[in-house]
Amino acid sequence: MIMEAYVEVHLKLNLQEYKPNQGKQFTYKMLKAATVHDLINELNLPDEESLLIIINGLQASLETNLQKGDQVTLFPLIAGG
Amino acid sequence: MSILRVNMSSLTVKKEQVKADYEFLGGRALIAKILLDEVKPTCEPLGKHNKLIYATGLLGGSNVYSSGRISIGGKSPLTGGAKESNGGGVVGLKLGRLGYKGIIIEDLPLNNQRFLLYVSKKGLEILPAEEYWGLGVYEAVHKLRGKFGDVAVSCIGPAGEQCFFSAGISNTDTLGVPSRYSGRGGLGAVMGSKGIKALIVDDSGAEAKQPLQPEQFKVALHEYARLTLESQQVKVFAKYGTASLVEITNAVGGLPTRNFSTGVFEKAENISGETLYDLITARQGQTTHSCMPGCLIRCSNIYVDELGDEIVSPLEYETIALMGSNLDIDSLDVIAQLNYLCNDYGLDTIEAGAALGVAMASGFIPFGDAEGALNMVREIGKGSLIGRVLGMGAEIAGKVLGVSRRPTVKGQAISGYDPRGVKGTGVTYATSPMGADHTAGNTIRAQINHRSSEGQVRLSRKTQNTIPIYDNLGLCMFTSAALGAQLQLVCDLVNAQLGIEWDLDKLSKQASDTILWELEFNRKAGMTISHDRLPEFFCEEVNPANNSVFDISDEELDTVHT
Repeated sequence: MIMEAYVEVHLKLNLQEYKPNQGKQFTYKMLKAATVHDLINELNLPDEESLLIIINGLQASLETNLQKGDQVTLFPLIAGG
Repeated sequence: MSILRVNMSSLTVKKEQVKADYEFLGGRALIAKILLDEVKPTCEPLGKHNKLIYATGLLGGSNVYSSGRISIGGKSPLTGGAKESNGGGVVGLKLGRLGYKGIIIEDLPLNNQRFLLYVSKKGLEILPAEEYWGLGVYEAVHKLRGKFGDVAVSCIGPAGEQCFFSAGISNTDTLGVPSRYSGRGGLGAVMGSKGIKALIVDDSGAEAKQPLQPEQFKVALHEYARLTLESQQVKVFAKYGTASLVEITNAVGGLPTRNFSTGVFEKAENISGETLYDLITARQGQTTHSCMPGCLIRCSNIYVDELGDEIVSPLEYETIALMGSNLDIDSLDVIAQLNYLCNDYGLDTIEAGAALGVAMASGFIPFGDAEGALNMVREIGKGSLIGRVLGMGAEIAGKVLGVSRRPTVKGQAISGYDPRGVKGTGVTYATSPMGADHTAGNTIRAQINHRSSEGQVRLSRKTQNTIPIYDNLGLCMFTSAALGAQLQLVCDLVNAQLGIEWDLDKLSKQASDTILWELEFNRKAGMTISHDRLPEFFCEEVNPANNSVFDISDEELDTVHT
């Protein structure tokens, strides 16, 4: 079954530069049931292995399935200061 | 290369040729080996048998970008074990250019005399320091640079002079600003005990050390620069500084908040890297800045007030975490003021922030009391009774104030990662010979679920054994953004600079040996596995941010270094 889902995307730090027209946060319409990996691909973000993925306040992975209404926050992974 | 040996009792200086087995040891490795070879592990850290050791990295003084870190070490008064605390700025670079691999400072001065150590091409001179003793770090360095010119200065403040265990040693940066701290472990107290206000490094007439294989060097350096400039992580640091971590640790439930009672700070956005960037930009400070010449990472910044006047440089993540969220303070201006005061008194902001956190937990002052926090730091500067208590760090302050939730390991404060939120770093805190210290093996960069206990021991072990590669060479650990996946390139740089033929195994073996030497020193100093534990509350109290306790067993922790 094809499911239509809207998720809320928050791009943090320099990831915003990849979507300059959309701002820090935006609603994104997924055309089919999808994983975080699919979302990142559709957004054309660089190097998915170097992202920290938070969904609804908890750390998730590339394989996590997105649910309607999810809040997806993406950070670049960086070393500690 | 030579090593300078200074005796503070006889006031004599010897220039020694480097022993054969020290020839290819630098930075943290050299310190660990000298501690093991020369320092009685059970000695009193502030007594005559301890030594304060400065060591440049193997690449120190070369033209390799970001290779001028200075390692300072000795037996730590805070942990009672081996300590290496490295700092940025230009002290390491200049010392390396002068051809000194290190300085070993021994014994105690007679009659409480105070001195400056002045190093130049001519060697090391011991000069009187009476007129500088008692001064804050900023004024002391201003005066010293007024007198000696464009020199590097490594200096203590009143905290070090009074042998407070949270005293660090400040190193000057490219602009002569003394804010690059070798902060951890109370080494400022060791320097103070030896009656030394400052080490001054004058490299007039000295040149950068040239590579022995210039062609190979050029190729490797070019590749290193390319990888650095292309690194996403470097781009983040260059724009937001290390403060970029605030929202990251907050997102995984690892941002120390109200004396580590939770890992999420509801006002984190007010102190985030993005807010810092916007504020500095609007006020026309500097969002990016190099602490050493030629640095391509530029994670530093100059934080200014509403009028555009500098409050402090740099303002970094660890300070924001420990003196911000950890104290329930959400004003970057207040955090910057706290940072300035700590820099001036010569205090490690991590240790001081954690000490203020336990003071707030005790009810001595309330959480969120910005004015109270500023006053408490001023009390440390004054050396009043409460100031002395706090100046001894979170472990001692907590005990005096009757607080059982003391965020320390081996007597040293945990830095900006709640171990229940970033469990790999928690393993490092527990098991590193350095005591609780993220720079000994931080795992926040790893692609792992930080809330899960799965894989954290292996990850921490690997990280703890990798970090000394950087520490031994004098490389900033942030170069791992470019070099982490390309360690062969590190070999290429080392080989071309020094004219040797090391492979990756050799580089890694030296890093692991460094840890083993430190562990051996600690064992001989009396440490046991009981010291490799986190404070009990992390294992018993749920972190509300991620509904998790630190759930890595003692048995697993005991496998980290075996």
